[in-house]
Amino acid sequence: MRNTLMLAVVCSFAMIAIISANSAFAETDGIGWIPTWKQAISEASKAHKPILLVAAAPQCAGVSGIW
Amino acid sequence: MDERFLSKPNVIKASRDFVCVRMMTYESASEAQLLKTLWRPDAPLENTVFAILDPDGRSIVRGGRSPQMVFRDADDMTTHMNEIARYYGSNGDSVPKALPTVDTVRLAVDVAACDKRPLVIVVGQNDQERKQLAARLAPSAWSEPLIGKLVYTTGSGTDLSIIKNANRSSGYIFAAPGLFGTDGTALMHLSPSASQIDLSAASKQAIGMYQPQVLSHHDHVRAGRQNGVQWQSAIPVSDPHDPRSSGGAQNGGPVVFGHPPGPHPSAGRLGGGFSGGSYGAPYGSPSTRRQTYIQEFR
Repeated sequence: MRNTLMLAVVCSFAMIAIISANSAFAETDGIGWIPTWKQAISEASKAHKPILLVAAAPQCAGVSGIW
Repeated sequence: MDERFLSKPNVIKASRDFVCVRMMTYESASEAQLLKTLWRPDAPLENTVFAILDPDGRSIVRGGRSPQMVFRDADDMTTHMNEIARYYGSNGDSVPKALPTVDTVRLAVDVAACDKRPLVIVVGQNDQERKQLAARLAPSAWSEPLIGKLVYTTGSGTDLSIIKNANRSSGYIFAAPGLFGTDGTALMHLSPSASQIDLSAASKQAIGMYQPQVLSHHDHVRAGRQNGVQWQSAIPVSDPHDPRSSGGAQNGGPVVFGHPPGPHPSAGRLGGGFSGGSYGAPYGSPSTRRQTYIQEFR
């Protein structure tokens, strides 16, 4: 009985770990940004795709590491 | 960055039918010239710009400071993106072939810190070697499990002084950016002979290993000031909301990071289709749908 209970607990933790890992990966889906105009316009011309453009300064009030 | 729009799953899905470009404002004079044509060309360039362009780089949707200025919400943005993609016959089948690389290691470390993403540095002794190594990494970068999850750059051994434990003159370095994007730490090294399978596996491992420190925007800026961080952009910051725009962006500080003195490596590299005044010009097309977009958003 005790062994069965222990096995159930171990399996539960394993399942939680797997689900957490998968959901963590899914949650970090992102847009595939091209970081320069030169690369982007070249790609858009070749693929005949419209362009989603954003620009942002990689610093705030002179402090880097934040958009 | 406007997380209310750009991190929404439906916007991310719609983005696969677009070429998505995110430029770093004030880090390239020529890109700044382009950005100014997209929104309020007579006003100083602000920190953020948003626009949707056709495949030739002409404005379809009126530019703004953010998607929020153009669309009601993420669903509205998705609806319009899907319509635009259908108009151009873009179905997301084709993915880019080239590795999406930030111009310099120094800027890439900062971008990685901003994104809270690990960084891959393709290190080669010359341009040819870097191109070959980057081409092998590109399919992994554009594969659906990894797209948008790492930041990429190329450089030589001499560009690695800000990366702790980086000891390669050629190959791939997977690194974690520091909190302020002024330095980083190597997590893994792969040799120049690494296969595409090795590179994909290492990319996933780096994502799992990197545990970024996350502060609120306010706390980040305060901590940066307390630590004497002062990012020096390639061109002066002109955003009227930025306290440095009136006094000059390059006013220095105890510790200065960013663009070194002298010409920026990307200066004059906008040859690919940018010709100043042609951007933002109204269409002359008879297409009803395209005209509808112009009327609705201009």
